[in-house]
Amino acid sequence: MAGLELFQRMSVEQVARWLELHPFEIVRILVADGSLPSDLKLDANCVERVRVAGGLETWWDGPPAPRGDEPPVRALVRALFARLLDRGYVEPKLVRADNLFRGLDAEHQRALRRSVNALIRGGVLTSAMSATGLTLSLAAGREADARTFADQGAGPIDRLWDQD
Amino acid sequence: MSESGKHPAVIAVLEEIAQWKSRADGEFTTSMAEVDREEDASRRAIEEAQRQLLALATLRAELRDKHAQVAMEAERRERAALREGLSTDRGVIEARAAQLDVAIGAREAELQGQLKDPEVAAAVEEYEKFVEVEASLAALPASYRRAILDHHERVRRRLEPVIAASNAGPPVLGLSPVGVGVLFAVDPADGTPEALVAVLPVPYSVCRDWAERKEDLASLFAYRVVAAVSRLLAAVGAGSAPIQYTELAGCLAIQVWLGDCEIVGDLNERALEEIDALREEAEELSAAGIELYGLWVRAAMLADEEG
Repeated sequence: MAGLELFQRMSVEQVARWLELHPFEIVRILVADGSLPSDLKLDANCVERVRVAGGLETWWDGPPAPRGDEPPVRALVRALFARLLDRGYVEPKLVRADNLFRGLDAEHQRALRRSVNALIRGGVLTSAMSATGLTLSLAAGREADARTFADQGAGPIDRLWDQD
Repeated sequence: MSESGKHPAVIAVLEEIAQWKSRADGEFTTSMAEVDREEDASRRAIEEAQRQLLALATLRAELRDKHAQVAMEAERRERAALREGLSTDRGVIEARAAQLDVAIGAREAELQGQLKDPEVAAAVEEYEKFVEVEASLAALPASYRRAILDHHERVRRRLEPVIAASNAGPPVLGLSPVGVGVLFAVDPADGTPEALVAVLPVPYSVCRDWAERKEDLASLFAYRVVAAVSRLLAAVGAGSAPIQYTELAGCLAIQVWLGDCEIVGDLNERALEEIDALREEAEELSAAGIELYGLWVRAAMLADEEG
């Protein structure tokens, strides 16, 4: 038989686990949206508000398969560029930084984070802070490089993604 | 030569002059000795005064040094007092969090007991089945859908007391109220603020280990202050200012970089208003007898002690 949770609204922590987002981010998104319930209990409508107002997207249902003997992380970064281009996240259009990792397991998230940091340092990706967290986009003018790397694993980006 | 055969008169005059000179010499010597004594006395007095001046200058320097140490000691004591206060407040919140958890657990156990009542259990089972199929109702014929919804509404009404109790506010602990403080500071203290920090009397693990620890009063406290800081930033035109969560004296600190923002309005006053609003809104803090206060301190008081 079901317990009380059948009737209860969700805690911030439960929603955070569900959406793979830090609880403080959930709070900030709902404050920015003006829809944080005063008792901090969230219903399905609130969860949807977090998803929409926060611009939450799930980009992965698992790591992509590498081509031949390609390193798995390189395949991951290529797939990331393909997703950025397909969704049009080229400067000035911004995407939540955590969208880039949602759906991956912890190990692949860590690897991709390292590469994303290297690509920000290399000027291929740009980052900016917003009220609802860190945002990223592909730097304007780097679309051709990104497409070459995404499709062929070649070009200037191939020298940047694994720079520590 | 005198006519009486006596010494010539001039000799007497000369003798008088000699006597006069001798007296004058004597007076001179006496006077000079007096002047020498006076001079010596004055010189000694000057030397004494110079010694006193030197002693006063040394005393002044010693007093200044001592006073500087007092100021440093006052800062050290102030810094220690703030940290001690944070630690005490954190202890209060953690203790009351544990008590609130026990009270919530007891209430939920009682509600779970009610769910075992056969009539309630049957209604819960029906309610659960409805939740499972709710998403597919739209595909059903309207009359059939209406009948299911009506039936569910009857089930829901039967369960209304349980549903309401499940979502009721936190149980009131009935403990004497205790004040706890959130510390705010800006850097620099004067002029345009470049950084804001809010230190909460909750363990940093609320932020770092949220996925491993159970959400409790300390977590809710942190959510509320994060919300208050977010509202504060939006209100002063710094809604997009970068926020970092760090550890300070074992507590959670919210750090905000304001250097790229143009602050509109009074940050200090607005922060205290947000804390006042938070205090009014936070049922769980009232239930646990926690009274929240905001306190502005100098940023230096939150820095780590040097050396």
